[in-house]
Amino acid sequence: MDDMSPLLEMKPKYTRSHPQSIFVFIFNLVCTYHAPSPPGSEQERLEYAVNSKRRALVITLRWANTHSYLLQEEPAALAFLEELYGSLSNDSRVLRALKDLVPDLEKIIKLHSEEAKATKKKTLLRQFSNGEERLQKKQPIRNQDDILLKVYCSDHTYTTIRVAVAATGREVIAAVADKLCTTEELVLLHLSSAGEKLMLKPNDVSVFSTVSINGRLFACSRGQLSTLTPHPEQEGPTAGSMSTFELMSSKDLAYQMTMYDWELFSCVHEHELLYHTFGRQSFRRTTANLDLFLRRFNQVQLWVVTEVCLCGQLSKRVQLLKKFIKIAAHCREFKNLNSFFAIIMGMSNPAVSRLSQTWEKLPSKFKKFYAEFESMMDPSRNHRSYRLTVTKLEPPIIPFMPLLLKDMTFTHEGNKTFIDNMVNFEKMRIIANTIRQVKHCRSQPFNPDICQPNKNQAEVRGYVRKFCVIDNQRALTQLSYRLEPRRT
Amino acid sequence: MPEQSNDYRVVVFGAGGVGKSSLVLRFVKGTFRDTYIPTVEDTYRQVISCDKSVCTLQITDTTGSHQFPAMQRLSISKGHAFILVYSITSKQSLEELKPIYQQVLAIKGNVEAIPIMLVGNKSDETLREVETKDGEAQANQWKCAFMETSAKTNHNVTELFQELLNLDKKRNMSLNIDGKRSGKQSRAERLKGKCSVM
Ligand SMILES: Nc1nc2c(ncn2[C@@H]2O[C@H](COP(=O)(O)OP(=O)(O)OP(=O)(O)O)[C@@H](O)[C@H]2O)c(=O)[nH]1
Ligand SMILES: [Mg+2]
Repeated sequence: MDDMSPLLEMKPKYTRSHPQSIFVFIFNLVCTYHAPSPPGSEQERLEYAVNSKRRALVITLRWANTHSYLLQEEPAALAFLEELYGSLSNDSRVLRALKDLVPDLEKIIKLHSEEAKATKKKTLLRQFSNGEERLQKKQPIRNQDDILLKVYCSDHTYTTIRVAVAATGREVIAAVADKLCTTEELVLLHLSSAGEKLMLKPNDVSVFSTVSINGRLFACSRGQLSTLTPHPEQEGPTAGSMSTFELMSSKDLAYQMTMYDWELFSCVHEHELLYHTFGRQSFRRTTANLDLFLRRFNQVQLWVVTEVCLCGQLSKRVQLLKKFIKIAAHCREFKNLNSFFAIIMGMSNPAVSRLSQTWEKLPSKFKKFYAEFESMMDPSRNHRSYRLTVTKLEPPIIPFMPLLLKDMTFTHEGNKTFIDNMVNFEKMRIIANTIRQVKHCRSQPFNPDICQPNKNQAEVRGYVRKFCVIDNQRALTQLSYRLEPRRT
Repeated sequence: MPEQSNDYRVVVFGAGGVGKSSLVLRFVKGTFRDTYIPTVEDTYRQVISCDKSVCTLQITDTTGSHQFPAMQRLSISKGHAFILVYSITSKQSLEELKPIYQQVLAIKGNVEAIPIMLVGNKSDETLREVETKDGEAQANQWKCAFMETSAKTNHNVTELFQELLNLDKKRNMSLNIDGKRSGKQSRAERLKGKCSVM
């Protein structure tokens, strides 16, 4: 972000809206590239030309690399790159000092124009796919892709509609109304398993991506609103899956969870962090990949709570706690801090932490591990404990994403974007720093050889990708009290 | 709210464009439209009577495209009864039912106890590619029931669903609840429905 600062500073008042800023940015680069040399000796004039062209080119390359596939959504950006390439090819014959940049620019253009052609064909996604698609390697979700959405009605029937990933609430409602052949005015809402209704606004973008784990999209008339009840399948499982995963090694489980997290994390575009922070409505861009990654955090956390609360036998419950602590330890070893924290936060959920009979029976060795892990979550002094741990790690790292987002949100909410009609670059630099941390985490590719797979890998892989959970805290607390009633 | 467990689940399969959605919409809403909107997966509910009490008939209208094999498997395992639709104007559409039937067989095991209806839709069309006797022959081979329908002219549509329910010998089901109309049935159809209650 801050790489652009010298250019944007020149014309701050045009930067308020996103689509314009890209043109301002390109315009400035073109000006810099073609800047006429001031009077002077031939040598001086050449040097000046080479310098300004190099500057423009280096920034262009960095800018293109940061945008990556998003460039394909901006025809102006691709056209600009091609034009710049034309000028560079000509100039580099005279100004040999520019020669080394030719292949770099060529590579970027080739990649994007080929991909842009290939992705003209839309990809069709299932709503945060259930079942088999989850086993395929993840590709980033793009704005131009189509998604299939299941929208429920008050009688619990559903209709599946196909809309663009970036579709607004209004567009989704129109598609549903068309499908149901109704002229009645419909409202779109998110209904959680606990029955909480969240009305989705007509202007909301990409409404599906923030659907909670067991939440569903509903459409109904205003009159039906008060009668809406969650679909029975939103309640989640009635039996735990311990008998399945107790047979799997903790290391294998942690490994496959890490592989999955890494896939999800890799799909998150840096810009999604910005859209998330500044509000994706104003960009009209999806944050689906980021939302999926955040959703996974919640899912892992709820998996821990659900399994414990559905385990009726005290001794088995102790086994479960031990298992989760072991999985968490392996996650940390694999530098997967996202799942590591998810597990520990699951264990510290009141529905689990209050089970004193279970915790009492936990061997002291495990209690010590847990205490150490929990201390890493200590939020005091702005999560100092966690931050120290991370700085000691070498990439690849899967970061604890919710904290990074919190940092960005705090920066955003605590600082004005414009001061005296000028962009507040101090704020932009702080935000850029957080993004740089994300960049750093994945600056090295994930090494799949860190674990020697057992023969049941496929089974483990399938299991960790579809945890069935209860996401209703009240239901979980009730189950917990049934396991170990309040002591009187 | 109707309970999941109380549902009687019927799944409609068939190639794209044979008129699965049209049949279901004609049955549930009494409407027909000429425009073609491909389906992904939709469900509908209708209250019916079952063993002297009421239960819900849940109809799953599936996609005719081959993009989603996993969805098909899931619907088969959850379904109680199946409607396999082809269009009498397309021999190809009857061919395309074969792998679907095989899959039902594979997942359900013994299909003889499972209500299956082979349906030749668009019987109003004059450009026929599949003769009635060819449909019957296929049904005989599959040991399932057979019917020709038209969603457009509302020919045999209610009958299709009532006959399908009659095929289930474990339950005694009827589209009529206590003699009252359910759905949009004509008087004649209602009478027929009554007659079929065993
Ligand atoms: N003449 C005639 N046309 C029909 C009949 N039933 C459906 N159609 C027409 O056939 C086309 C396809 O009907 P649909 O019901 O959408 O087909 P479908 O089997 O649901 O197709 P998919 O959802 O893509 O699998 C539409 O244009 C209907 O109007 C019928 O009985 N007679
Ligand atoms: Mg259809």
